[in-house]
Amino acid sequence: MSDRRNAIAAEVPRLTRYACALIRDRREADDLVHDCIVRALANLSGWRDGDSPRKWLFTIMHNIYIDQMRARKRSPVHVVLEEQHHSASVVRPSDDVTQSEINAAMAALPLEQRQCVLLVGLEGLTYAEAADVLGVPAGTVMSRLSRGRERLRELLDRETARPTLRRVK
Amino acid sequence: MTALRQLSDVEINAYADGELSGEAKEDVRLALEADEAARGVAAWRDLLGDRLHEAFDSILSEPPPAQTVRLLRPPQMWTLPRGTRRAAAAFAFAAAAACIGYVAGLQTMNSVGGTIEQVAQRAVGAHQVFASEIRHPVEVAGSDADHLAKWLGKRIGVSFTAPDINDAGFALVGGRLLAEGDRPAALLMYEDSTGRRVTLYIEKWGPDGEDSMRSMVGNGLNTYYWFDSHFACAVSSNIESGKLKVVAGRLYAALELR
Repeated sequence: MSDRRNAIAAEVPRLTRYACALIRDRREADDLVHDCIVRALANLSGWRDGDSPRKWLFTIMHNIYIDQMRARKRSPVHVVLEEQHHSASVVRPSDDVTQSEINAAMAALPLEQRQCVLLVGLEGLTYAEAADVLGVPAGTVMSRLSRGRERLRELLDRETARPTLRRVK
Repeated sequence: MTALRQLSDVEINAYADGELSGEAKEDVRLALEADEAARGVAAWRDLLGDRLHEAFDSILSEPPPAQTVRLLRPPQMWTLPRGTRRAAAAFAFAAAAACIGYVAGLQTMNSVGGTIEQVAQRAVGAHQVFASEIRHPVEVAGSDADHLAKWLGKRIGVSFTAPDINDAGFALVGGRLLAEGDRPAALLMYEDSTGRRVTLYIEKWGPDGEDSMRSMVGNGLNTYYWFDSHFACAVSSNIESGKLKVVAGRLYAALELR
């Protein structure tokens, strides 16, 4: 049992990195990771022998996040407050231009694309793993990822970004 | 030359992410050679990855929140909070030694993916190999303590003085340089009048880790280990645990890594 605890503990930094990048608020990210660990410990039997703890934990965290988003949507007032909270917060004084610039661009991306860009591009998951975590087909991950990266290129890399219409034949 | 088809962004990304193999991979590779705009898509994938890591990787070395640490404490070890002020260290240690029942914190990861427990294991291994050595237990003798500390400190990247714990009954035998994988580590050895040995192991840790002392028992040895400003330290011996607690407390308080 303590081996499993240790394996879970070892994933906490990566879960936190992903949560921070995804929701751009350190305290909310820490809370999300905390909730994820609570649920994981309560459901250790859901982690099958031989499975990577990373994929299992990221899946749990994704499900909790989606549940929380749904709960917020039911309460319009809360959604408004969250938006303000997001724009006012962002992480730490030590975080430099790089992070705030990336955060601003990420904020412009739909959640689904952001998740794919971060799971594959930051956390190094394979398409199949990301698809499992998000509960969508791999093809969906591919198109969301590709669109997300292209949108970020327009936002962060204007000089080299292509004219939008290049692909029209 | 065959006319190369237009690549889709999805294909370019899949190729750059290493998701393609065999014919499909070769197909895209060839088409990329002839398509500058497509190469731009692939290059942006790499650049974006770099920028994401640059922006967020510092989070990996931050200690997790205490509330999450508490959730994950394994029940079989103890730890104690280590005062931020060095002056309080000896007292805090004595207090905690008297107070059994602490449990350990989260296993903190270092930048190379190891845990402090793995460092402690390496310290146990080093003790087992070298403490039993009769003729050549050390490379540099304790009589040359200044040179010893300077040399080891230079190799592991820190400035320190070999702690003097003669008043606890242990004299410095000397020390040696160890190789842990591709990284250097330092081992100091102490000995009492009956030839019983205590080793102090120091290895570069990376992030400024959790400030606490823990203990483990294994292979007939007791080991106390802790972080000190980017270094992991461990004291191992087969002397009785009560006595080692005192010696470890002395080393813990006396060792200044700068």
